[in-house]
This record gives sequence, structure tokens and C-alpha cells, in this order.
Amino acid sequence: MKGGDVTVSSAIRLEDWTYERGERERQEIRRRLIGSLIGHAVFLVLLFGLPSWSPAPLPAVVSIDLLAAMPSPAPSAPRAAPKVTPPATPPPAAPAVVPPAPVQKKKVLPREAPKPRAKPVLKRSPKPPQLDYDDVLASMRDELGEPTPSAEPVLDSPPAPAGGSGRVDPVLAAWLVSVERAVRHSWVTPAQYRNSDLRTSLVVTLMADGRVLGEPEIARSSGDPHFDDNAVRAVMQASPLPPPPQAGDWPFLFNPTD
Amino acid sequence: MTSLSRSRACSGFAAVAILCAALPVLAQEMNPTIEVRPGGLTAHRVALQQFADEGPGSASLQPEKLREALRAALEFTSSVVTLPDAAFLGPVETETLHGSRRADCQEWRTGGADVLVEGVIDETNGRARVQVGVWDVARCLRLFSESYVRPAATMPRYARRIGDDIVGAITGTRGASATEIAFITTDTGHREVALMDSGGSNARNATNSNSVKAFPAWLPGGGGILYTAYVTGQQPALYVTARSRAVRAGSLLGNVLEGEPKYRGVFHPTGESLALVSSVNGSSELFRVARDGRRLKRLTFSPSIEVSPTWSPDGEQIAFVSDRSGSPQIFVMNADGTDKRRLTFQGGYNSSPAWSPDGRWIAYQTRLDAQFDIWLIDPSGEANFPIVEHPRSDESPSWSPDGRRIVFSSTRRGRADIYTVDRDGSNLIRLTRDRGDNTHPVWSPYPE
Repeated sequence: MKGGDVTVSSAIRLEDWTYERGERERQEIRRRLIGSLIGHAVFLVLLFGLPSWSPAPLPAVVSIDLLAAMPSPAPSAPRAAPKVTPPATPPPAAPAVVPPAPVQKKKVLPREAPKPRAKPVLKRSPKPPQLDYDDVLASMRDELGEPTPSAEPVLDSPPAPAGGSGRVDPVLAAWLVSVERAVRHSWVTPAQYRNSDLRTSLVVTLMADGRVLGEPEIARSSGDPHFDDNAVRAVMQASPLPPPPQAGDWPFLFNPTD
Repeated sequence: MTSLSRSRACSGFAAVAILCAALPVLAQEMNPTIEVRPGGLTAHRVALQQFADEGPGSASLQPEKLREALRAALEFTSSVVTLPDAAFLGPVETETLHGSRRADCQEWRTGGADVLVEGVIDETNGRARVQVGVWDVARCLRLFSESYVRPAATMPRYARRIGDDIVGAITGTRGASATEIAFITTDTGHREVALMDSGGSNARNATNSNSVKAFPAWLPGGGGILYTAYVTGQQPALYVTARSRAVRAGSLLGNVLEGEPKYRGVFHPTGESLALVSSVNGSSELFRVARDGRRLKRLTFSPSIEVSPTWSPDGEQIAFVSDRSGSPQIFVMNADGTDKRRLTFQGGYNSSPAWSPDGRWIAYQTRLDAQFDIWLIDPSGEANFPIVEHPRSDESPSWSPDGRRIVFSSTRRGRADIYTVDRDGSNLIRLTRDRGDNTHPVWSPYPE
């Protein structure tokens, strides 16, 4: 800390300052303070990286009674928490990006050292059985009457864990399947693009009702502008998408291999 | 407080303030990536409106005929399909050409289109003008806008070029419906060079003489067709039949390798030089020579047979057939003859290579049992697979200039006929019928 590196003699005391010496010292202090602020800012930016400065809010951890979400009993809406996802009607009053109503308290900003993971709150006891991600997908598919696809949508990174045990939020999992299907059905892939090594990454800003805000941004181009164009068109054509678990920026990767 | 401790305190508070502001950044995570795989859509869905007739009287240019000609051009490539009128949620006929904005994109999207083509025509004093607008209705963005003026009588045929331009605006690669295919036919009883449109219509002979013709090849730009003629009592020699006034018809390279047979010539992509198959001491060899006969350079030096050259689209390499390894196989070398390497290792007889316009594939024929199939191999030799397989023989592949289709000759119906197929082997179409044996098809370049 620069503040400690003081060359001003420790013998100088407040009541001894004359105007000239005081001014010089005040300047020195200002200089050191500004230097300290700049140094801290640079340090923090470098440490946490510019891409983190995304406006997307925290993923909402939803409390769900997994037994209620399974298809075999009457598949009613999860009883545990209200306002899990905004229903298809009505759209939110505010057209801007609206995070869903807070389902439960997010204990994310503790007073001590920051925690990267949100603590979940499972209100029910006894604890529901821990389900495997594949089981959840399979059950969702059964419910929707779909055969298991030969090429399942692959997740680039595991979704925000619920409960800290690595299990997947089933609402998120179901939405990932349905949004991939919606975009896939609008994606035109002529023969020369299929099974090529072209890849396009987009970032799509979704509103709470599934509408696309603006136009998708090309995060990484395939190198072929028309392949990129077809990816952007696929998202725009599929809009409105199924309403996401939360509004905000969602990354899409277009991979034309069968 | 001393100034020292005060400055320390200020710095300390500043640090804590910055750290607190940064906490939400630390606690955030990116949403998971959604990976999208290809679905069933392999073609853009185009709503092709009937163009509004604004002229005082378009007697010769009828909007319905123009629309059907455009539709055929758009659907010539499998990358585009046009929607039936019943699916239109907007008007079937263009009401007005839109400028840079339109309000009905959502309507067209709901009807299932991702592209809309609108237009107006007018005709005065025998000259027709067609104005076209192409819209991406997903993003509500105009992709293309152009005005074409031609004599009214030629406009329906010219519609193919307009359709090719529209395909280019939608997909990035210009369509190839306004192209031709040259081939060898025995229609007249002896082998002649013939021509037809890319869809098979308008077939007619380009030569008519007593010699046997073989190995047609297009001049870049399409201004003429090079071929080999076997005149009785003479060595085979190269000739050009002109299709534009800029090209001189007659013999080519007559002063080169005099007395030696000239079996075949294939133009370099720029048209400045040719790859030539001739003979040295009775053994066929490959040469390169400028169009005027100068700068003759021998490329192969092996006592084996070397034939069938094809240029890479950048003109830097030549693929050819050689039996130096014991059986006819496809080799690749630099355009100066250096760095020869064998490409095909599968199959006992591989020939007739044709390099794709995008440089990524070489189509060729491979013999299985007593007949040939058409395969594709990439220039590194890693990927190699069939695209046309049939118990009868399929030979002599040649690429359309947009690289979407391949033309070849097949005896599947008895006599040899010309067929075209998509580059993945689908959408087979027969082009010739009832005119003898038809072989050695070569697809023209884009019209100039």
C-alpha cells in the first residue's frame, strides 16, 4: 500500500503544518491515494477478467419438489415455489430485461469472502431422491412423447448446480432441450455445410417471455459469413423461443455435424 | 491523526470499496451453452411473389411465365425451395417494391418463409425492365435489389441469370442454372461435340465433320469449346469451336510437338495456358504450354501412362492419372511438375479426376467388378467415399461452377446418357434421352 511509503518525516504533526508544507503534503497524499485506487482497480480487473462484467443476473435457483415434477403422478406445476418461470401469458410489464421474481433469498453476498455458488433452499423434507441428469432428460422426453434422439444436445458446461452436489436443475434441463429443438427446426443447413467443420458461436439476449432482444451477437465467426448468417436467421426465425429460466444472455453454438 | 495514518486509512477504505463493488462480478456465472445440431431444413424457403406488371403492356413478357422461369432457376439448386401460393400469408402478387423498410416481415415468417422475393416488370418499345428485391424476413432486412433491362423477347431466358443472382444473395454462392453442358454424342452416327442447357433442354451439335471427337473442355469464360479430333491418317490434334466472336475457331497448338499425337487439352483456370497430354517415344506424358504454343514444359518423365489432367481451382496443382504404381491411380503434382504424390490407394482402377470449384474435393470414377462408380476424395486423401453407386457404369464426373452439382455419364438404362446429381448423391436427373450414346460431359463456367 502506497500510503505506507511515506517519506514525510514522522516528526511532522498536524499542528506544525505551515501552508506551503501542508500543501505539498496534501498533494503527495492525493497522489498516493489516486495511485492506490488505480492500482487496486487494475489489480481487480486483471484478476476477475473483463468478460465477467456481464449484466446478466445470477441464475435463480429454484426450489422444486422433484416428486411433483416427475410425470407419473399428475404432472402439475411444481408446488414448491410460486413464480418458477413466468408463464407464456402475460408478458412482463417492463419490456427491459427482467429477472424473474426472486423465488427465495439469494444468500450470495455474505459479509465475508465472496462465494461463487448460490446456496439453494429446499423447503421440503424429507429430501427428494437425487436424480441423475440423464434420468431427468429421459423422463422429460417421455412426457413430451419424443424418442431419444441419436445426437443429444450436448451441454458445453454443466448448468448452475443446485444443492452444490452437481445435480442438474430439471427446469433448466427441460428448457435446454426445448430451446435447442426450436432453433434446430429453423436452422437451414444446405448440403455443403452439413458435416463440415464450420462452427458459429452466438450470444442471444432473451427476454423473460422468450422473445429475442435485438439481434444475436456473433461471439465467434465460423469464417463463412453465410454460415454465420444462417445461424443468426435461425434464432430470429425461431423467436419467440420457449421462455427461459431467466432472461439475459444465452450462448449458442451451431455445430452442423449429424 | 497523523497524515501518514490518514493516508493509509484513505487507501484502505478505497480498497474495501472497490472490493465490495467487485463482489457481484465474482459471484456471477455464464449461462450454459446451447449446442444446436442440424435439423431437417436443408433449403431456404422462398416466397416468390408474382411480379407486378407496371408497363403499358407487357405483351411479350408475361408475369406468370417470368415467375415460372424464376422458380425453376431458384429450385435448380437444392439450397432453395419455393413455397406454394397456398402457403402465402401475404399477397401472391407484389403490390409495391419496398425500399429499405417493410412492416409485414412477421406475416411472411409466420407463413413459413425465410426469404421473400418481390418484383415489378414493365415493358416499352420491346425493351423489358425487371426490378427485383430479395428480403431476409427473419431479420427483416433487404439482401439484394437489382434492375435488369433486356429485349423483351430474351427476358424469359434471361430469368435464369436473375434467379442465379437471387440464389447468390440468399446463400452466398451464385446459382448455376444459366450454364451449359458440353458432351460427346453418337447421335449423328459418328462422334460429335454437342451442347445443352444445364437442365437438358436445347440440345444441339456443335461440330459436324468426319472425324471422331473426344475430350471436350471449356475455355474459361465459356467463349469456346476445346476438343480432340481423330482425323483418318493423322495424329489426334486439338481444335476449338467458337461460341463468341472473341474466340478464333480452328486448330490449337498446331505448331507444338509437331508429329506427336495430342490426345487431350485442359485449360488452366485463367485460360492463359493448358495442360496437354501428348507422347514421348510412344509413352504418353503430361506437358504444360501457353495458349499460343510458347513455353512448352514437360511435367512427367515416367515410362508409365500419364493422362487425364485436371487443374485445382487456384491453378497451383494438377491431379492426373498414372499407372506408374502398377494400376491406374490418381496422383497430384504442382503445376510445374514437382512434388508428385499418389492420392488414391483404394481400388484397382481409379481415373477421370475432376477438381471441385471450392478446391475441397476431387470427384473420380473407380472400378468395382466390371463397372465404375463415382466417388469423392479430398486432396489430402483422408476422406474418400462414394456418391453415385449403381450396378451399371457411371463415369466422367464434372462439377457445376457453383460446386453444388456433378454431371456424369451412365449406362444404367442401356445406352450412355448424361445425368446430374447433387454433390451428396441425391436428386438425380437425366438430361439426355434417345440420342445415341452420350459421354464425357463437361460443365461450362458461369456465363460472362
